[in-house]
Formats: sequence, C-alpha cells, structure tokens
Amino acid sequence: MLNLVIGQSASGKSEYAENLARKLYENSAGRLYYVATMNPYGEDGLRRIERHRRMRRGKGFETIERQTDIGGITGERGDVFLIECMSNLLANEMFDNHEKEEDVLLRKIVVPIVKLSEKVSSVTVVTNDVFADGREYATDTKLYRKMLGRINVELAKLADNVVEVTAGVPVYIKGSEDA
Amino acid sequence: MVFITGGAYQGKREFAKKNFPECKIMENYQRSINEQMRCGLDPIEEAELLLENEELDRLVILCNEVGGGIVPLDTFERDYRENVGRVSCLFAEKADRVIRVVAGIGVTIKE
Repeated sequence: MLNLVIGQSASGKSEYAENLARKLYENSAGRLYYVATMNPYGEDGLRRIERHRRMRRGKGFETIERQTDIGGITGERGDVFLIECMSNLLANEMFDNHEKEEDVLLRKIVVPIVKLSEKVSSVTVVTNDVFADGREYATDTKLYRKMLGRINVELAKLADNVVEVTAGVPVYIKGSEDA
Repeated sequence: MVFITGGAYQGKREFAKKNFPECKIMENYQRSINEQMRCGLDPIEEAELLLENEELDRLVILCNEVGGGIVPLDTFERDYRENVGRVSCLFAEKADRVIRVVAGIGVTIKE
C-alpha cells in the first residue's frame, strides 16, 4: 500500500502521518520504520530534527537515516515505512548530489518508493505543498519546485490514498483512512 | 464554464485535457493577467470581456493559485497577486464548476 500525505509547513502533516503509520503497523506483521531524509543544516535544522525525534519517541519507530538514494532501502513483506520527507530527499538529490535531470530524478525517487510499497505492507510518504505563493524563482529553485510537483503527481497517481493535512485536519482527496 | 485552480506544477493541464477533451482549454491564465497589466489593461475588465465573448459551454480556464506566500515588496508583484486572486474569484463565481487540482487529483469545490 502507498499513502501520500501532503501539507504546508507546520500543518501537522508529520504528526498525522506518524499516527497513520502506527495504525497501519498495528495491523501488520512486520517492523515499523521511520526513514529520516533531512540533512541537518544549521541550528534551526537541528532543532526541527530534535522536535521530530521527541514527537516520535515512544511511538515504536526504528529510524533509518537516508538522505539520498532511497532505492537503497529494503524491507520485508509485513513492514511499515514512513518516509519523512520528500522535500528534503529531493533537495539532497538535487543540491548535494547535483542531480538535475528530471527523468533521472523520477527514476531515482519515484520508482524505488513504488517498488518498496509493492513489496512491504505499506509505505507512507510525507511531502510538502510549496506551490501557491505565485513567485518566480531562480533556475535551481524553479526546477526544484517543478520536480517536487511532478513527484507528487506521479506518487499520487500510483498511491492508494492521498491526504491533504491543513491545521492538523486530514482531508482525503483519494481513497480513505480506512482503505 | 469550468474553472480549474491549484498551485503550480500540480498537473492541471493534464487533468483538464483528460476530463474535458471537447472543450477549449485556456491554460496559465495568470500569465495573461501579467501581460494585461504590462499593457496597462485592467485584468478584471479583461476577464469580464472574455466571459462575454467566449462560448462558455465549452470553455475551461486554468489559473494558478498565487496568494499563498508572503506579500511581495514589489508593487507590481503585489498588484499581480491581487489581480490573479480577484479574477479567480470572478471566474469561480461565474463557473458552473470549480475544481482545485492537488498532485494531479481534482477536487470539486463548487458545483
């Protein structure tokens, strides 16, 4: 099963996604993994990471640090994965790994996530909504935003459930929480 | 008329082509607004004219949501954002159906 959780910054999407993953884990036979993609830039980055660690403490996640090459993740049939989050993973691929080819990025990111979701019990991906500020950005940021949009569209196409979280409130735009 | 809104890169065009193949699709209407402003035209008046002159039964208008960020310092940018928002409200009011596309998924918000 593949779930996509979309929301703006600080919308409560992470907390919602964590609870969703835990619920899915209760009905599965495998392990519960949290794939952390964030590269800790600066003090505020470390602070946000610490906040997320605190938030999921005691929730039973095994953390996997994976900042690039998401395809390197393997799982077993009953496992439940939460990947947090796409905006960091893409930034790492584009700006640390300097990968700027659109099709290569889709192959490196979307394909392995879909494959993983077909093998394990469920994969839930958290992604960002950064598309409605109407600004024109410089080349790199422009491509980044375009790619994040494309990845979201591609994942949503193949996902069983797509949910938009606003102020902590989940609205399913594809599937449902009980699906 | 069908009005389709949503953030940038959400797959609005694909969605419109797939769901309204028999219609005339006007995409990136926010760009038209930008051009109208550069020509000294009033985007609200232009939008009203468009609605008078087009065959509305077969028209789909696509426009980006652009109001979700910090208010820009630049006056033109600020007016642009304002105009896109106001014109979107006008189109949505006149539309038989309003759809917001998120990650390629259309959610009807008015029908």
